[in-house]
Parts: sequence; structure tokens; C-alpha cells
Amino acid sequence: MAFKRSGAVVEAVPLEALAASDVERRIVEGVRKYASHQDNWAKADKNTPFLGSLIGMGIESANLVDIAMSIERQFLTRMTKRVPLADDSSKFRLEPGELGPLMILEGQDIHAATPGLAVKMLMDNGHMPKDPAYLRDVVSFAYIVVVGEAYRLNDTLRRTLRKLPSAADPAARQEIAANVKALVQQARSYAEALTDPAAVVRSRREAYYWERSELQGLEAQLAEVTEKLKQIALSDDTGGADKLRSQQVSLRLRLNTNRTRLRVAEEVANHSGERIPVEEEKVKNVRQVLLASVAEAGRAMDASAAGA
Amino acid sequence: MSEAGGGFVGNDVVDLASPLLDVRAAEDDGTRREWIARHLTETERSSVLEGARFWEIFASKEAASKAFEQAGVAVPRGAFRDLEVDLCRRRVTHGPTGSEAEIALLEQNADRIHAVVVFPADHGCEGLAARVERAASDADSSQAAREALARLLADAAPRRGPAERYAVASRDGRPRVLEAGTWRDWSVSLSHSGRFVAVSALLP
Repeated sequence: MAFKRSGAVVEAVPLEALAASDVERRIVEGVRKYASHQDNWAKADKNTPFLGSLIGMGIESANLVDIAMSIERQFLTRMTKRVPLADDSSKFRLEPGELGPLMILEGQDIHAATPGLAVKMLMDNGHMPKDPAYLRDVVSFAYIVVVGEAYRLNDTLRRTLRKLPSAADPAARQEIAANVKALVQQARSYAEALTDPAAVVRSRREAYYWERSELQGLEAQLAEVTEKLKQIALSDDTGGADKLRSQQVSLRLRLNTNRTRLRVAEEVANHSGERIPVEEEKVKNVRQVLLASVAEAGRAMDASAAGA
Repeated sequence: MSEAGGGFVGNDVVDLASPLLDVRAAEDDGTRREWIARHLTETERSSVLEGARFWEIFASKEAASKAFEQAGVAVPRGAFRDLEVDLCRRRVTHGPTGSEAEIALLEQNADRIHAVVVFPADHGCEGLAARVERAASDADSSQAAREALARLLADAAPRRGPAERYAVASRDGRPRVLEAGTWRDWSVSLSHSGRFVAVSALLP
């Protein structure tokens, strides 16, 4: 099955016929035209984020849909039979059927932040068999987020630091120094938090359980309000119905927020404690980078104070 | 809660001459239609086919998702159809919750579209500042946006001091402002696309 794309014909290949590493290679090749940081794209591996230009390929969020569509165009799958969902007939899930075009359903790619995680997404959704050997060194979404934040913090610290010697006005220099100090403090705390995976997982699990119990409470409240609304709809009490509707909207708002937070908290709790070696390595590297910046900031602040 | 009285701002710029738009224009009709369909709700699709109006909706959605995120109304990555834009009413509605945000600014010229959205919709625009700048061709867009935000803050609140006193960092995944060593809980937003960077802030 072939699709025309940007003048070239893309031959879609059955996922079942490909090794995970081949799927990954095709995914990376497919997003090349959206990568604004071609250097990072050229050396991308399974753990290179699609978004962000410090360590990522520099794909903009406006191209998120392009990533999913690029993956879809290249592969065929047997998960093609649409089964409507019981609670919403406009939505469906996919079950095994005839070989056909791959379809990534809305929300399935929420954690597919790297080529490796995109391959994992295909495995998790039954489009290709699980390959434990391939997944062994795929950095979890949790650590992609944690490490990415650390590099962004480091970048801000270094750029703020660079302004220090160029500020001629002593008052301005003092203000920049205060910003550097606050960023150094943040960098130190971040580096410290990264050292102990057991502490990280403890706090993440607590956050997860707390989120889950709050979600369950909200679900119960929403069910109660919805039931009351059904009963009041049969009466003439429009004021009471309006009040309940307003409560319902407010509860739905909180419920939606909590569901998404719970998904992220669950993902992070599941992976932040048991670091695989490649995650350990990435954490070690970014800690070193952060601490080197902290040390350099200390020297620059001393020099600045001496020169003041 | 932000220092700006509980209001949250998000903005988005689209460079209409971006090479990525050309990439899309070169694709076949079916692919283009599908791409657009993945961003629009049924109501939006019925009012817009494609072209500049699509990009107004797109920029409004991107801007709204940033404002909603800051307020704790989660918009999952890539869930464009959770948001519905009504350009006539200048509103963006978050489908799963019914929450509404206001399109406070939607400006377009031949080069670009810039949307600024404030949540909640009845917050008003007091303290709102926004601007688009052209970034140097060799600039790091993300850094250029952060510097543009520092300049915007200095211009919008001249009594506070010059742009140098601000550093724009990220905390808990959101852009945050450091002012002379103090973290400010101001709602701010950064965006970049092709040749442009755009920034917005809700100041107390």
C-alpha cells in the first residue's frame, strides 16, 4: 500500500514484518522535515526527544499531529477492526482484523515523546509484538521529562550568568546576581533530588495514591450530583437544577484535571524509582552538567563581588 | 493562583511563510484534509475549510491550551479537538469541562498570526501585555522568546526597572519569571514560529 507524501511515494510496511530497531529508524527518518535542530536529528537515537532544541530534534508543538501522521503513513497493522465504545458510540477501540493502515487513536501518543517511546506505544497498543530486548534501554517518559527540565534549567542558569560581567551598572549587576543566586539554589535542589531514586519513587508514589483517592472522591460526588439532576429534571425546580448543573460542570472540570494528573503521576510513579542503566547514565550526566554550572556560577559571583 | 488576580494568559504565533507550511502545501489533498480534521471539531470544520482562517483557529487553540494548563485545566499533548474556537464570540471552550477562555487578541498580517487568550473568559484584559518580535535568523528561538519577554515586562512596568532584572526560567513545566532574585507568580507565555517570537504577560 503506497501513499503520496510531499512528492515522494511512501511504501507502507506491515509492522509485523519489521524489527523494532527498523521501525525506530523509519520513525526518525519520517520526522526529518519537521526537525528544526538538524544536528540533534542527525545523531538522534531511540531516546532523543522529538520536541525541544537543547537535546531534542527541535520539532515544534505545531507539528505534533505530523509526527503521528508520519508514523501512520509508514506502517500497516492488523489492529484495524473498529469496535464502538459502550459509553460513546462516536469513539471506538481497535481489535485484530485485516491488514490495513495504521491508526493512532487520540490520546494514545500522549507519552510518545521519543522514537523509542513511539515504538513502545505501537507495542502497547498491539500493533507489533513486545520486544523486551528493545525496550530494555528505552528511557521512560518520566525520565525524559525529568532530564529535559534539568537541561532547560541549566540553560537558563548559564545564560543568566553570561549577563553578569557585561552589566556595567552596579545596581543592575546586583539584580542579575540575585537571579543567578535563585537559579543556583534551584539547580542545587534539582541535582540533589536526582541523587536518590528511592526517595523520588516514594514521593512520586505518595503523589499517585493521593491523586487516585482524590479522583475516586470526585467520581463519587459527580455520580451523586448527576443522579440528583435526573430526579430534579422531573420537577419544576429550575433554580435547583441550575445549581446542580453548575456543580456538575465544576466537578467535571476538576475530574478532567485529576484524570490527566493521575495518568502522569502513575507513569512517573511506575518508572521513576527503578532506573534502568541508560536512565541512570542520563541522570548522572545532567547532574554533572548542573553541578558544573553551579560551581561556575559560584566563581563568577565571587569575581563579581570582588570587582564591585 | 496567579498574582494577576486569578487570570492566566497563553499566546501563540504562526509564521505564515514557515517552510513547514510549504511542506504541508505540497502534500496531497487527502493528507491535508486529514491533517486539518485532526485539529478541528465538527463545528469548526463546518465553518472553515482551510487557509488563513484555519491558522487563526489553530493559534487560538495553542494559546488557549497554554492558558488552561497554567490554570490546572489539563489539555493532553496533541488533544486539539478538546478545544473549540468560536471566532465570532472570541471564545475558546474546553470540551471536557465546558470552561471558557477569551480570545483577547487575534492579529494577522501577511506574515503571521498572533493569538492571545485569557482564562477565565470573564477575567478581563487589565494588566495584559503582548508583543511579536522578529528573531535574528541565527537566534535560538526559545532564548529569543525569553529575552523578548524580559523586554516586554520592562516596557509594560517601567517603574519596576530595566529588562536586565528579569530572568525567564521554567518551574513545574511552566514559564516563570525571576525578578531580581524573587520568583514572581505572574502568568506569562512564550511562543515561536519560523521568523517570529511572541510573548504575553498578565501583570498585577
